[in-house]
Amino acid sequence: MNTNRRTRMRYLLSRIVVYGTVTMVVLGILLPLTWLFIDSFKHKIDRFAMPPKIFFTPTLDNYRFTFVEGKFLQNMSNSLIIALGSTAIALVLGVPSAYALSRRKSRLATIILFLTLSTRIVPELAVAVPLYKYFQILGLFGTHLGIILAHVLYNIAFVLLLMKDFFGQIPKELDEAALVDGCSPFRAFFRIAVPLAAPGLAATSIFCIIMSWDEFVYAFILSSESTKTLPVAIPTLITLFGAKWGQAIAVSVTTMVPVIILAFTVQRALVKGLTLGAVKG
Amino acid sequence: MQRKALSGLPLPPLKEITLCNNKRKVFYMRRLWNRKLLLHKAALPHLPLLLFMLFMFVTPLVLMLNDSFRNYNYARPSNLGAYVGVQNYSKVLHNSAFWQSVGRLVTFVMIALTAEMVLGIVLAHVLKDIKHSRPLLSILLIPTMAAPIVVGLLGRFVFNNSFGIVPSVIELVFGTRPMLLSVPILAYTVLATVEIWHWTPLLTLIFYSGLISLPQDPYDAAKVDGASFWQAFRYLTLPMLMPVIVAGIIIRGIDLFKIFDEILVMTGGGPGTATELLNFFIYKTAFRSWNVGHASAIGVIMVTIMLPVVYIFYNTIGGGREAR
Repeated sequence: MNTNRRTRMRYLLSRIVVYGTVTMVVLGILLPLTWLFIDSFKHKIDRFAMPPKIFFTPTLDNYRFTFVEGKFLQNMSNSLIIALGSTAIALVLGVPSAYALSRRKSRLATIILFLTLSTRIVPELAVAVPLYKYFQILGLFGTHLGIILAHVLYNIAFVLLLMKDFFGQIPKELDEAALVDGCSPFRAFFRIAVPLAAPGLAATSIFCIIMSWDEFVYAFILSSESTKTLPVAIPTLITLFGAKWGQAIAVSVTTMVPVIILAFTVQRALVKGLTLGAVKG
Repeated sequence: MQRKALSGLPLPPLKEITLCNNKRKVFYMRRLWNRKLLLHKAALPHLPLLLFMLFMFVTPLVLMLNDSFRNYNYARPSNLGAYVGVQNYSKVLHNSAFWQSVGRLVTFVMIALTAEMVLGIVLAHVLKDIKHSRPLLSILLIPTMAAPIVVGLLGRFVFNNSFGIVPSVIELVFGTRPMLLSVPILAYTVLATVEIWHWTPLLTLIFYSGLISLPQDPYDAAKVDGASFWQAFRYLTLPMLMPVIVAGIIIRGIDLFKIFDEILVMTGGGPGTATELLNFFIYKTAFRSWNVGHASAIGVIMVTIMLPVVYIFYNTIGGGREAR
């Protein structure tokens, strides 16, 4: 009887510890972000009030100053153009290669895989220093195309590794059967492999859009005034001569919210992509 | 095309010649490219990507290597582009600011990586212990998806000296208001805290998916034998989870090595140079002092350091074992 009660107590205690930890973690993650979100609807006076105000009259002023009267709508369209463009090019370049990687081993495949992996590992700034000069020679500096190409470089490893995995899940026998029946390799790729990998293709493209939308270093170094993306616009609001906190927070929230909504649609691919396929999400 | 023999002698039929020439050409090209590297039908899908990589990745790196041996100081434009040998390297390697930033980076990576791994494993065990963990996994993804620059801004907002919530709470509890972003050691700690907050959830997810895919039988056997939780963890979980742990260390180590965005928006490298890690040092050298020669030399050093990592990465988790 006594031992029974002790084990029950111990069980109860472990439950309390476990759920307490979970609650703390959830609060620790959500509170700062929620606070940032709420703050974007506050007047300046309410934001700096001490102790922090929980009840206040919400306002859209921050967003109005930023996107209607400010020039941040342009940053947003830049972000959108660059994210979509770089994702499209990365898919066009990466998907055939990923298919070939999943089907046939060759020395060239090894070289491709090695080069692509090293793009993830070599620091972006170390590549951005020569790219800055290189792009000025080529006339790509400060253009959308230049940043798109840099973001393709940033995304290509994700495309290759994710798509290789998705193609690997399609049985080889399917396209071999098509080849035996007289289908050309191109047709086998477009008519059989790509449609079967369509869900993976969708997940990969959403992942690439998110990554490009969030990317900072290349966009920061290689953009001019008119091609700045949303993340690059954030530090311009926090300067030595004073911070426009309201607008900075509004831009941050605008950068974050679409990404989080998109992310929930591709949860599994996300973890796989962020770990470069090392973990099956 | 007119086919005329120059010497007036009749030529053999067209077909034979081309075939023969092609064969010879292919033979030489094959030798040149070492085993039909590019001239095979199977190489076709790789070619666009290979061209892109040559254009966007290999060329810049070669240019950087070239620049690192030249004088490219745009702030002092005399003798711009002149070949100076290894002068850039020797200057960089004798620069104490460089070594300080390297030291700070190494310390930072070790602190943050250890904290993230330990927290990640603990939280993964906690997650495994509760029943409805699905919504929790989604919540864990949220910070992972926030852009580093946004997280940096959030950090600056929360830890701000004048109106941040954290200094205010500390003032309320302890009576003194710490200048979190103005004292070197505190700013460094705050930066590490923000980084840990940002990326521990991802590691938790990785370890969680590793934990739930472990076989259950060894644990049952250990329970029958009377093993404690710690023994089971030490002799069963750790060895079985090792591949996932190694993957986590490599992935996070690489990303920590590249940290830049958070520093730029949170502290700007300051106070003084307290949070100036290696990447930020490159940025300052190249785009504030405009000394591209020195920056290129640092870049070459960094790439050289990272090459073994690429090799390890390729052989452990990058799919190198499957590709060969």
